[in-house]
Amino acid sequence: MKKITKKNIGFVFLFTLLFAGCDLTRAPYDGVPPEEALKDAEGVENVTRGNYAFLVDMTANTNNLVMMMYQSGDYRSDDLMISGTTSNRMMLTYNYLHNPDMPNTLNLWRQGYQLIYNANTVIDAVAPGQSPELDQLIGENKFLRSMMHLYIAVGFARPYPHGRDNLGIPLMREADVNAEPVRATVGETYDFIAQDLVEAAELMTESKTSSYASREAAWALLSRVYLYMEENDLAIEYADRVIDSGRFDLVSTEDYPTYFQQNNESRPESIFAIHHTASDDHGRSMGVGSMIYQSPTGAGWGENYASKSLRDLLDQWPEDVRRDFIEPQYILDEDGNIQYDDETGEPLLRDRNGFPRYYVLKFVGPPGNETLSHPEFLRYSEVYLNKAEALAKTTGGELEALNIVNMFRERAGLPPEAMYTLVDLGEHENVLDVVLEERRLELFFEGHRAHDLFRNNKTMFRDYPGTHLAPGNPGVVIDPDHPAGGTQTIEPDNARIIFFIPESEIDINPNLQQNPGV
Amino acid sequence: MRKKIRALLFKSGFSVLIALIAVTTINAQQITVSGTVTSAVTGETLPGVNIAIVGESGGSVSNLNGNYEISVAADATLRFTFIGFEPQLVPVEGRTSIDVELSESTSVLDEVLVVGYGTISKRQITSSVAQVSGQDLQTVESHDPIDMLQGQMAGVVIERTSGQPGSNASITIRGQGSISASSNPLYVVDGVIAGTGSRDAVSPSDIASITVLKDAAATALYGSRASNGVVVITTKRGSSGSTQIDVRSSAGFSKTLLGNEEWMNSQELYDWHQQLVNASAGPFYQRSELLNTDVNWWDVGFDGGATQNYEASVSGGNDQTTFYLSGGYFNETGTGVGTNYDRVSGRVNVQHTFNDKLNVSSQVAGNYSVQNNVVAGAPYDMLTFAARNLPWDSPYNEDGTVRTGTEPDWYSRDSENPLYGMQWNSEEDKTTYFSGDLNLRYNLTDWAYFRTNNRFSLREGREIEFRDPRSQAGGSRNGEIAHDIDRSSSVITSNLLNLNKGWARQSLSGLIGFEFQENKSEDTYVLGTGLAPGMKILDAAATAFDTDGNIFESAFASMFAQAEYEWDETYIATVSFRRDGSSRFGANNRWGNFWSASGSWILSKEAFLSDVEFLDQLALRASYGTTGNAEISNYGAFGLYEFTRAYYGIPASWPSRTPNPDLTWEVAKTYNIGLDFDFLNRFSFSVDVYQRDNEDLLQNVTLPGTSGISSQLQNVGSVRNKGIEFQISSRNIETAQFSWTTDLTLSSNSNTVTGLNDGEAINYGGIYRIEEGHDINTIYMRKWHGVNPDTGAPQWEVVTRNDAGEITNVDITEDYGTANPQIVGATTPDFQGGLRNVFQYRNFTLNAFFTFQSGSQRYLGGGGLDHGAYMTTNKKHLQPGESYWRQPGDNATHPAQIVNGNNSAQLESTLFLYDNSYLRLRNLRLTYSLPPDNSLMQSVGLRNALLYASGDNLVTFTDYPGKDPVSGSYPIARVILFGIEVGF
Repeated sequence: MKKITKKNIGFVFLFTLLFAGCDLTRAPYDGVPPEEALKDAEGVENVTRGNYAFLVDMTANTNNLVMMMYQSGDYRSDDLMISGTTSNRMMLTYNYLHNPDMPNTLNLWRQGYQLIYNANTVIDAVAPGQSPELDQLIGENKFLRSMMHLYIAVGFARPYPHGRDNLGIPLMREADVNAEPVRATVGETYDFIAQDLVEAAELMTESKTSSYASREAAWALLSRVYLYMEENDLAIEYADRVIDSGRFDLVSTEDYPTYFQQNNESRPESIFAIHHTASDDHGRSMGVGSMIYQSPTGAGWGENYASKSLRDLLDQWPEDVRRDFIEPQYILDEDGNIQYDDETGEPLLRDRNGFPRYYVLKFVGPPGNETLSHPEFLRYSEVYLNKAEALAKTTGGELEALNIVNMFRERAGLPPEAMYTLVDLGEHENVLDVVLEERRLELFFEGHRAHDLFRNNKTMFRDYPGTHLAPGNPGVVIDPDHPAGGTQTIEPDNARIIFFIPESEIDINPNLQQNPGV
Repeated sequence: MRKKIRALLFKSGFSVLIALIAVTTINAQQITVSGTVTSAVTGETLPGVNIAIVGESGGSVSNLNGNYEISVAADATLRFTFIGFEPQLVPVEGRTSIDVELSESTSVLDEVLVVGYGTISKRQITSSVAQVSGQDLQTVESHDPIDMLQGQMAGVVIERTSGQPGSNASITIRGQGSISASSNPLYVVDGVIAGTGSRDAVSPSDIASITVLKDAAATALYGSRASNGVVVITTKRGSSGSTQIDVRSSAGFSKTLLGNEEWMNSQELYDWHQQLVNASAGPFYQRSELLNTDVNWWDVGFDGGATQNYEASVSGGNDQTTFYLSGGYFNETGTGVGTNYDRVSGRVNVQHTFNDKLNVSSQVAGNYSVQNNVVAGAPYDMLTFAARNLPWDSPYNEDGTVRTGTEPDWYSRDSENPLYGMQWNSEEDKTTYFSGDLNLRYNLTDWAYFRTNNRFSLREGREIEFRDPRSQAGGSRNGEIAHDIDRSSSVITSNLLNLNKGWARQSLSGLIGFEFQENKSEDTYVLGTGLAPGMKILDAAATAFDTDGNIFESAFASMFAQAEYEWDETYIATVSFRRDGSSRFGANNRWGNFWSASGSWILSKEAFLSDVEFLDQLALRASYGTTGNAEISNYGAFGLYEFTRAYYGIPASWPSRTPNPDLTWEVAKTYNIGLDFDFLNRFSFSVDVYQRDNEDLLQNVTLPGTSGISSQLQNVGSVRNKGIEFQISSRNIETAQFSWTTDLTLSSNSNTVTGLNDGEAINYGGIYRIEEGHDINTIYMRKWHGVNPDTGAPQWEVVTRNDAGEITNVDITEDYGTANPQIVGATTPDFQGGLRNVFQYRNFTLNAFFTFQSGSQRYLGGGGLDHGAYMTTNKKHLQPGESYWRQPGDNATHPAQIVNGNNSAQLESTLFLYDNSYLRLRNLRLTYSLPPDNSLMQSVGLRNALLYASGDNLVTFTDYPGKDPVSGSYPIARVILFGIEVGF
């Protein structure tokens, strides 16, 4: 018996030993804890770079953030048509049936605020004034935070000129995972965005490439923000700062058609773009351009095309090199020759559901690397056009506005008779309409068009073929005599020119107020 | 002495057990009897046999070699009892050496149940367990042992959700209790928590029995990860005696089941396009040349499959050493073109007894499988294309070559013929499982032994995706090949001190244990691009396009104790305690304590029922206990800035998680009351009522988008599952020539979410919602309100709610965006179960097995009824009783069909929500056993031989309009098999 008791003591001892020896800490391999991430300049730089990486088209998700930053603008516009129903809910953006339960708008909201949070962790952790390098990084994060607030505001809040007191968006001034913020007013939202950009511009002193934010990027975005706010003098002032910086040039007529295929760092107009390396290219379903293009090897979906109204506008002048951004898809024979209609002699176009395919090349990389492009958020041309629009709205600014427009028309290769003068505005009623049309011609599919119309209280007419013309869709009048089969008219006071706040967000933050019109 | 011990015992608790170690039972001067206890069937020695002296206290237990020694009066009578065997009374009659042979019990009550860290007879059970063994495991032919259990255990829901060869069935025990943590049960193989691969490391033919532990009393000993129940798998052992060889083989064919789903042929689709409201706007209006082609894409994609299975085993041994060796080959060619699964497996189980103290055993098993999955296309795979592609598109040119789908006269929505890429492309999973156990048992005394079980297990998975440059999927990168390698290993050591002391009318047993488990997995992903056609190795790739990899580790430590006391085979009480720590939880809260208590009262042993002759057993069981769940990601409690991204080719970090140092165990608290009623030696009836509350749920709480962190693992919320389960067996007819038995399992589980983070509901998957007061599998969507009879427009409900969330008003809208979602049902059935009837006539056995469920709903997405939204995809027929709106006044179930769609009518709503109750003839098997006295058998020395024919999924009765009421996108098949089993 004694022997056994001894043994038991032995076992109890053994257990205790084993037990005490169990260290149960197992730390992750793929990163560092928050308290270490931002403890030095290198960490701040790593996190800042992570914030740019957040804008890289990288996940296998057709609703990712960068895509939404463009699509939320372009799919509401009259530049684009969809050739057939798709389960991608941007279809509902396109035909103005969008609802509070769409993955696309949810991602713009959630991923947008995620980038804002990431930037806030840096802004909160680093006090300004320590070194120019750190100030530059704080400035870059402020720029990203501000830019993202702007894209969310354009998506979910009514245009600024519709009233400062309309519902804006929640303003995240600091990283706070427990916050359940309310929506600021539109006025507060745009004030915050502008203020942040002003501060960002002051903090940034380094001249990095266009793959990173810079003082000039902040000024360029300020010219856009003040234009949206109808603070025209400020819009002109900040546009001039960018122009006077001398860092940028308008691309030549000759190089313009291949401009977007170039690396953003060798593009003379590039102020801020997302740089993609070869390993960021994830093929077919990726990238802003994937819905509007399909490569010869089948990369991309190629389901949505340039609208007939956009093509007609571009086709006014056959010399216009901007027509090269649209690529008709011809039916080819086995030897690659274009096939022609026997009766009309017109080239035969490939169609989808009866709609001819006109691909848009603004997000298409060079041949062989078609899915690898570098989406540009801020381009020199836009800054000039911001200035032109602000001038057009400023007493005595009309001539200068027309000069800018004519500069672009000349660059596009148009003949002298295509130039406007104060006495010859073509078919336009006023200089503003001239500027807006040129803005459309220059910046189509770069996310601007719908907001440009609605903030200027213009009605959008979509009298071109497309699946938006189904009976029962908002604003649609079916007319068999119309060449397109009908028209969809969206007035600027339509509730659906902006998105609904995602209903699942209201579920978890009841302080969020829904937009009217649900 | 006896009184003293009993008084101590009744205080119960574990301290008693420890105290006992110091107390010796002393007997008066008498003779000493010794001997060996063996099994009358196998001749194997039986360790652990209880030897009591009738009418006296004291007793003994046979040791590991089946030897026993006991001091008794020369005229005493010994009673030998052992679970699974008939008790035997042996008068001593002055002998000092008595060898005893025990015969195996035929009563179901003496069935041996393999439970936590040991075995127990059904007669003694205090908890809720279900076990399937032997012939009942051989129903459907599958590589997956769980698949075979469907419908056989009340409260255990098993569903084969995919027809992909090699895919596993899902298993849920007593409802879903967790939200973010896994609801999968814990697997225990041969007494030890399974390592990597769990059930996949075990080949079905090697399984002796599978037991499912359902309530806390049964599972508490596995407390750490047992909150979703425990599946205990025991593999076969050899037994001493003549060497046995068993060979089994089956082969058959399978056919895809499309159920109630019917797709249009060429003419039907053409007619459909003509009847659209604005038909002339459609792309296919009056293009009758389309009718020249009529292709059924389901036939193209799913051309039938085949299954073959070969198994052989050798077992035997002598008094000291026994062995079981087996090998198997399983092959299933899926009904889907290009899919198949191959597996070779093997196992060696050896046991050796050195002397009456020491016994070692080892189990080594492994298998290697190659699974060919549905090949991804660009963009879709055959599963999608079979439903979408138009009957007007032929996959082949007239000369028999395969079309690409990019031809100008290809009409289907996506410009791809899936068969084109499948000429070269492949998606292959190669998986190796290895599991090796080394166990040692040492007898400290005749009532205490020490056991250590140690397992190393390894899974290596390699997923190879090859896309030839000639295919669309591979074209954009000029060919690509990806290897995704996952290597996971697990080491577990389980150390037990077992104590077992029996006296004439009572026994006390218990154990103390310590376990430690260390898991590690390493992922590597390499994508090479730029390949010459047909080159399928990474070395041939021009560019290393992408490389990823990560390492994950986790560790668990546990100590536990259990004590069981039995009085006169009438009162049984068990208590257990377990303390567990896991690396997955926050530094402040790694450890959790779990305990259980259970009791059983065998009423039929009481004097007042002893003269009720028809009664075989009447027992009442009750238990309460707590168990835990740690099935979350390894590092959910850690805050992290991840370095998994890069910008401009330079590493970058980003905040992906905020820390939660308080994160701890999810706890399930389970009550169970059960009644077992066996009578007339013919009927057996069990009913269990349970309630399980999962609390402190490990929940990935979605934070508001403005928070910037998508979610955080927190211990919030609770879910209640309660239900009732019936298990009924009846030997309806038993004659020499003919027998008929029936087994019925029936269970009903009701689920309620009882708490959430600040009461915030969770929406997921677009159509589901987790909301307080409702089922965890609640369906939440816009409610269809029929068709406007005047216009054919779709209509949905707009509900107005008050502050309490109650619906106060219901309006109707034709604008989908204005309509709002509401709770419309749940996927949880009211009840489900299985029914088996076995008819035996002479040497023929017919086994018919039905499964069923009722009262559940399922959303049938995936188009085909899109009201014109998609002009270039194939369409489904409506179900009987359904109709499309055609003209004003029509009272139709489905809206007018308009080119490019009718106002979002194709989007999620209850229009596509259906009842998926069903009754399925899951398996029908006819077996012919050659009689043992058959001359052929005798001439070739066969021990047994049988032939069978078997059919799976022969008939399914359901109103569900999809392919199958439960399975997913890869449809399940009807399988017809023929098999043979021979034993030498």
